[in-house]
Amino acid sequence: MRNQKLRARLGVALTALAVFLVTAGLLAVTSWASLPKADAHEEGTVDATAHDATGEKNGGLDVLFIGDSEAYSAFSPLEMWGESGFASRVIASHGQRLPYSYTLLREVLTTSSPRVVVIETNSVYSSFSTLDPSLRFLQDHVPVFEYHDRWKRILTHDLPKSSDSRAYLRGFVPNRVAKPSRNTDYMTHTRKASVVPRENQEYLRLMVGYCRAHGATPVLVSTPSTVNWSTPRHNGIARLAHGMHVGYIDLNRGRHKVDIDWRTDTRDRGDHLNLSGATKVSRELALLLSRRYRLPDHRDDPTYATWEEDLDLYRTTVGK
Amino acid sequence: MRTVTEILQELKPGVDFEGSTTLIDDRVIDSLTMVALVAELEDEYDIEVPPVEIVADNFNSVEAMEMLVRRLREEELD
Amino acid sequence: MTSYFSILFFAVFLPLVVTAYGIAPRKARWVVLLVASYAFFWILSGRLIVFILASTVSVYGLALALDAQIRQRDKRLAGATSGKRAIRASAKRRMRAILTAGVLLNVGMLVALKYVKFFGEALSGLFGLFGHGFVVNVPPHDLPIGISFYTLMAVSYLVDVYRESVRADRSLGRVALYLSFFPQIMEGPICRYNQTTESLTAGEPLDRRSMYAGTVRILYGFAKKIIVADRLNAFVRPVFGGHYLFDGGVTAFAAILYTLQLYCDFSGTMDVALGIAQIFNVRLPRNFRQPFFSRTASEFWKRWHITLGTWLKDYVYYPVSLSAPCKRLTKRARKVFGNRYGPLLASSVALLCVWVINGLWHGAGSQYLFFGMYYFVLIMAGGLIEPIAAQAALRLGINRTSAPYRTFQTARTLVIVFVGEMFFRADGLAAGLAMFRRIVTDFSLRAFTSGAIFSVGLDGPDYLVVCLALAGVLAVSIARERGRDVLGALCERGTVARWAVAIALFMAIVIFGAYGASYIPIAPMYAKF
Repeated sequence: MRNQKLRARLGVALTALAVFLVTAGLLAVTSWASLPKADAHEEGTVDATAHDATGEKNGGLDVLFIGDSEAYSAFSPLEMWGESGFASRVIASHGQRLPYSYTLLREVLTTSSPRVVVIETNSVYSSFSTLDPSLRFLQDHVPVFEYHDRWKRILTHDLPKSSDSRAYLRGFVPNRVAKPSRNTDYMTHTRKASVVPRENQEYLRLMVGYCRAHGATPVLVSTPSTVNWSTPRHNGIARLAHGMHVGYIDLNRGRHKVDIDWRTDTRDRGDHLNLSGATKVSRELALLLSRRYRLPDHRDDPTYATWEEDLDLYRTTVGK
Repeated sequence: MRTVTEILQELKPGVDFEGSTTLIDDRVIDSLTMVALVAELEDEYDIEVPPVEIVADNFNSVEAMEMLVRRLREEELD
Repeated sequence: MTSYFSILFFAVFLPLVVTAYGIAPRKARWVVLLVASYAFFWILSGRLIVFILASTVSVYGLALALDAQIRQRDKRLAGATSGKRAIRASAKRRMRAILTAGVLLNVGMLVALKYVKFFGEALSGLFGLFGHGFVVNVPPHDLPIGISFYTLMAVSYLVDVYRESVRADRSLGRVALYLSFFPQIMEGPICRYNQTTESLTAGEPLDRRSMYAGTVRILYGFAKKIIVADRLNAFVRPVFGGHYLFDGGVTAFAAILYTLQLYCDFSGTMDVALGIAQIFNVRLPRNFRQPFFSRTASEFWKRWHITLGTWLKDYVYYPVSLSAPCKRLTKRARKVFGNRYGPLLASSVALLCVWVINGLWHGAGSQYLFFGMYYFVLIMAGGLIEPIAAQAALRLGINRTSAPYRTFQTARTLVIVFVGEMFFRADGLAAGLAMFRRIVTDFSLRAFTSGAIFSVGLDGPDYLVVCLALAGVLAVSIARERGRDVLGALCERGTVARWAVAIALFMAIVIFGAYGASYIPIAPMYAKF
């Protein structure tokens, strides 16, 4: 009788152990399979462009742009190269939240040393569920939770991926569609200030601290958007930036307002800029950043030769 | 006084109520019919059917309904 | 931790509770569940816990008051030789007063917390109409979780005691556990006191079969939500958020995808809830019974969110339709309109009440009211047309039980459901109407033929995963529609098969789940009610 009970208990324990080991094994195997290889053009997660920065082969990175779809719609590294000759990259994906931006930032700064890190401010207001931190912990320690989406790449492996041929854009996603916005006076004066959620402030502080610890100057930039930006939001960021002693450039108003024509420069009624708007923003921001942070001009430097080639390609295929 | 079966026939002519013990489960009596049925039973037998009695057990068969009526009448007669 | 769908819940909270439950002596196990439930509530809603406490204590106390009245009445009846009717009547009057107080208090709390903003806005609008700039400003506030659910449960307990189908519970702890049991607090199912209290307090020991079955059920539900529902959100959100950018074809497609998203999210959460309860050998009632196989809108609501439907039937529909004024209405109507249409009048009044409540229960907004009215009109029309349709079918020689006809009915019901859910999800009634108009006037398949459908938010592989996962869900649904106990059959298999399924589900969630930086996280959909 006792023997039977013991056997049963042993059976349960063994089953539990087996299940645990098999699961752990599967997680390990899938993690290994899903890790992106170290090559510059190897894909990352859903957004290939967001992970490309790990491995800028053509000489060092000068500026890093981090954000969400606002960032990849408005910042064109090649346009900025054309204007001021510094090397930059956009690390942004649709709906990207601060926790992930922080992870990406740390990843990039292990292999690159940009002088300036620009954080687009739209994602500073984007709330993320507090699921994120514990998931982040898992994602940082068990790769498959981070890169699980790469199964899609395996499926589309044989097809010529458009993302491959877009790598030279360095994270910028051009769009020529023009859908006008009628809401042109979206920055009416008010003293109200939007509240940046506490978790967001925490992550921003972490990012700012990390930048400074690695010799990069963090800067907050707000791209023009009639849908996502407003004076209260400006005030909220301005306050935060002041408190953290971080520079803040708002392209929607004031000194640095970019002359956006909301009839032709937006692709979705003021939510995001299109190619025309991005070009304006990139040129002006390039001049501003280059002056303010004394960025180098590599246009005669042979180690940055591929940038010139890419710029030619850009001019012919993307235009302007 | 009409019998339960007669009342049922008036509400839903052409349906055979006698043989079944699953009138509610089979949705022979739906919620619509139930409302009319209860109104008729209350009128005919001078009883009050509280909502707690509107359960399948009391209405799944003609016999069950007759028992319910009997029980409620006894309570009323005091 | 903001919901069940978090690592903290499954990796820390639940194992702790299960362990505590397992170690505790039988008599104390329900206390473990009670403590866990209140801890869960506190973690999610903090100080708002005072509201569920208020509801619990109020119905507990008032139920005891009702019980006192009942006992007093029975004592008097036993000793009386005449005037029994009077004794019953006076007891009923007092009980009714107690019941009314309890219902008003609890429903009042719900209305005040949930709808005061809606009423405030309506009032402001009204003032605006008359030229007054007076704005009723309601500060934004959080709702205690599950308030829409536990309030209904509290009311059902009190009413059941009033109807004498349940004996008032002398234990405050038991009533508290009934109302707050953590797997069901967030999104239901809405349980009756009789359904769950016994197994909640029985303190059944943990057994391997239940733990396995519960775990698989949780994994299945989790998979539905995180692989299908959260993935579809990437398409649904932009289309509903910027509906003016898309044509009728895409809008219609979005309505379909949203319905699927809602189903997978809600039924997935239900599977998780029932699975968790199953681990403790507590049986919660089902909320879904393969709803997409329904042949009429009326049937749909008996298969979707079942516990809400039965609650409304037992505590609104019957009480209203059997109330004195309605009964008089029925009698008179029957004399004028006959047996078929007579009772329809009184029951339509009751049905209207049901649908107004159903609509508004889902949210404080005019589109929810519209949602309720939409189904009210359709179900009423269905009832009215039924005899005419039956006659027509007879004359035309159409067999209404044939497979093609039933397919037609199912398809028609699906269209009704998709449209209904589109209004439900739209950014307000105006947006819903605009979207509907666009489907009718600007329908085109060009987004599909040109491939543009792949750049709205879901790419090819996404659609593939959704199709495969839904195929799996469909297979399980068909089996269950045929009466097969899928989970039970799985439990009968050998150890390897059983755990292979569980591990496969887990890995599917890890690999194909729509979580991570590139997906916008969404809280379980019914949790904001």
